[in-house]
Amino acid sequence: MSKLEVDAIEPQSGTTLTLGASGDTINVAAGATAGFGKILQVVQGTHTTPVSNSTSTYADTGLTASITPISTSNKILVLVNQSYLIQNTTASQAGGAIRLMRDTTVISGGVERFELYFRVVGDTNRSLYGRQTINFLDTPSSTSALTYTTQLARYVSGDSISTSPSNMEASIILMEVAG
Amino acid sequence: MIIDAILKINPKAEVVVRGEDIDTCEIEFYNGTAEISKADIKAMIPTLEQELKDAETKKINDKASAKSKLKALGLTDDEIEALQG
Repeated sequence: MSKLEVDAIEPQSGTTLTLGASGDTINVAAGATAGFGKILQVVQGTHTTPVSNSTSTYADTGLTASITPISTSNKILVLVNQSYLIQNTTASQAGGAIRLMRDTTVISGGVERFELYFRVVGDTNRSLYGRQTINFLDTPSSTSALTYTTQLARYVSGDSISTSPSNMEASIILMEVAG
Repeated sequence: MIIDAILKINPKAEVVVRGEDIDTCEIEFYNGTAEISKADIKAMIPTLEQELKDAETKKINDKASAKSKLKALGLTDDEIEALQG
């Protein structure tokens, strides 16, 4: 391998400078700052199978995506769009939460299980459909494969929370951003 | 609908349901919740669906009844609409 040290590279003719060829990988060295190409890779996961939870213990929604960062200095921008349904069966309120995990670590949301909530005094069997977005810039400091997932839990006994109700699609997008 | 049927049978049930088809879904019972058979859950679903239909019908009938009572009191259709927001 040879090393080229120059202050500028310009196209020999025309206006297009091409780096690499099909199948090649062009990396920016760890710690180096690129003036272009900040998004290094993008991964998407989708899920449409409903999962319902009437417990206060978080359970996987099935929405997941994995990415292997090129450098420990890079960050992962996580964009989640999760469809949900919360319902009250016996109480006059219903709530739940959806949180974002990196492997087994909670990285966003779910501190309180009433992040999604409604109150209907004196009425039961009410439903609230919606979409929860979670946008999080993660600093995993890793070059190992990372799996991002979402989990759901209900608020009070007698409530339930479901994700992907009626097969409404949920998505998770992972973008590796040059550090 | 599956979790609704479970909570109808046991309002305190602590359960996670994965999937939408009663025959193929996975159901996990937690925190000492007594297991409910898929047959019992399946049997509850038509009851639940009927309750939802009945509740909807009652709402429509109550609205029509209220409107006719208000009309009998002399309110115009526009005034009744205004009351309904």
